Amino acid sequence: MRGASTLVLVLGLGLVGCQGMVNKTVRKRVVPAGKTWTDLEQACAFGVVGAAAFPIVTEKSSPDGMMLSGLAGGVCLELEAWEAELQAALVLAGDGGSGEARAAAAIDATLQARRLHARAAERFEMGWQAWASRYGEASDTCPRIPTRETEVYLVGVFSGLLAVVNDAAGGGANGIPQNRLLEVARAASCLDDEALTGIPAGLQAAGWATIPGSGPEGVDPWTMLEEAAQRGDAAGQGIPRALLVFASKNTGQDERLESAITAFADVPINPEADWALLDAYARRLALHQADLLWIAEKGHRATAFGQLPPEPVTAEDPFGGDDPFGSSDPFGTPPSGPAPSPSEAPVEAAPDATPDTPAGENP
Amino acid sequence: MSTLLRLAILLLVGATFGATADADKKVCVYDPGGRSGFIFQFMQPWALQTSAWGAQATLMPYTDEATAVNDFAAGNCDAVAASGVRLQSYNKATYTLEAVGGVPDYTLFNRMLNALQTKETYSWVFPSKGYEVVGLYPLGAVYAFVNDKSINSVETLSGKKVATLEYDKTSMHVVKKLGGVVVPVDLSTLGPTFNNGGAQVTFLPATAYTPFELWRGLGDNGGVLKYPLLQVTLQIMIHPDRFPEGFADQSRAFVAAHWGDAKAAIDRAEGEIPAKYWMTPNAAQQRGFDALFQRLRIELKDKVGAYDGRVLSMLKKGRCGSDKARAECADQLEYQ
Repeated sequence: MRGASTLVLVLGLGLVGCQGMVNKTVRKRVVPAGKTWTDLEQACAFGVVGAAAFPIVTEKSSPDGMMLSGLAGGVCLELEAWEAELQAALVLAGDGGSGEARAAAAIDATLQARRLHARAAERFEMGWQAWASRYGEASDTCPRIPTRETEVYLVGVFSGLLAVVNDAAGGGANGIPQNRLLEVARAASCLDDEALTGIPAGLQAAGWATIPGSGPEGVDPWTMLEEAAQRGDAAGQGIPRALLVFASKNTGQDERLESAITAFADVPINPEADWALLDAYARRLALHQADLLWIAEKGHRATAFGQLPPEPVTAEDPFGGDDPFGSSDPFGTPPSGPAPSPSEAPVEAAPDATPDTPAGENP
Repeated sequence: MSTLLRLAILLLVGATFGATADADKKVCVYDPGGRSGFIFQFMQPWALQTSAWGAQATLMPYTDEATAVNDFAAGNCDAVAASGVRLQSYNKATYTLEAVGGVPDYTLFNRMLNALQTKETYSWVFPSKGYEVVGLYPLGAVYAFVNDKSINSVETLSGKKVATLEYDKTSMHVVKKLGGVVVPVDLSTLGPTFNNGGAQVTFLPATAYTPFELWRGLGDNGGVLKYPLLQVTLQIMIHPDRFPEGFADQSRAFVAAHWGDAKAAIDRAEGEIPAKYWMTPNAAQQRGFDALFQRLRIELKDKVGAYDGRVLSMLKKGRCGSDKARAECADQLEYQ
């Protein structure tokens, strides 16, 4: 597994080196390599091992390593939490068992999801705290961010966002403050939005859209989110669109949510995209939300990425009440002409065949 | 009747019963933090449990409370979860639980909500105007956030600019009676108004402190007056004809037993306010507030018609039952 071998390299350096060398390696080798991964499970394996290893192999913990490990390791548990959410939804969508039994099964799956979200939040928070230990409080003033640190800075900020989102879904077990969304927005404002294809603007707008009145006067966070999503789409980076999905879902804006999900289907995966790993995460998030919609409507997961459950067929007469076939029976005796060829003939006998037309016999 | 036909009828009846008793019910939940907010989170156990009562609730987040209540009134939601003040026009009795100075502490409030929601004798409180309240969760005590610690009594509140939710006519009345200057705000302007100094005072539960970053408005000199102005409640209200028989009683009993789900979030929020900001009024200041609160309750019942006298009477019995030394316990005011 690439994640593990990369980590072995880092650990090897760590064993003979120190915090500075590990940080440098993380920045120069690990992040540039890790961000191209598209396999979330691989990234999460890296994160789990890294979270345990970095503090051991460095005299002090490596903020860069911990930011990356926190983010990647949290994703593992978040994916498991999403699966538990789907299980709860499947129980509720099903019609088996008594109401009591269904309630108990759904509650159990939901409690499992909560625990997993809470544990995911703990890992993500580790990434954010590592960010804070390096860059300080997310205030209105930007810290100095050397160009070579832009990527780990983004990793830490994104980890901070996922920490509060998962903690909320986990019932607030870690006590991560709700203004984290605003801290993330402030931290993201220090990044170059053009270079990072709409991710910083998306992070800011998502926070402002969630907390009433928190954004700058005159800025519509939803317009900002939509524009950021389009910038991301153009570069094959799904995070801004995923932020739009998240914010829409969070605020109960169903139409916007559905539109954001379906638009994702038109964004081709760009294997050369900068931060393909984040794009992979974004797509998984959108798929999860689509799965929840499908299960509620159809009782099963989405049939394809970016698709919504079909609208129920209405009983309306599409022909406006006029019988296009006139008074004659379109499936009965043809008015004239040759008998249908074998390929046109019905495959199965009509179940309501009349007595004077024996089954299996053409009229 | 043939066996086949009887079976077909049984199946049809069964299918119809199933659809009616266990159909999805849309519950419009107001939470300023949306699906990630603490209200939405503590309501989830209730929603999941509803399938055991024959009606599967699906929670829909609303970040705008007026829209949630309007959608409920228009019939687009089978139920709504919103604050008592927002639902006051539908049920005056349950709104009166949020009366000014009505419940001074959480222990008493817990006992009150538990008794109300589980004892048959109080069942008259919940149905009103064709709707029914099927659950009352605490949302926290409302405190005065002041940008100067010298604002700590009834007298010192006079003349101060107070950010007040413009739809909350009761609060408007209270602020005017306090001699304050109303600065009307909505939820999107409340935080910035206080934080930018547009108001010197605002009345809010602790749950608003962190999301709105109210420490910016409190600054170095501000404080939070630890004397509850009132208790906010989250009320679950339904269209009763859309829910199976027995649902309301089971729901209220469940909510009463899950007081702790909401209280944990309140405790967390109050714990996030640093100790340096909390100010506890002295005994004289407390007596001043109590006297004012009593005057306001009576006025809001008799002149404004905002409060239900029977519930005010119950609240007073509760307060005097838990602390007979309160000055008000020597008079007969508010009793019915």
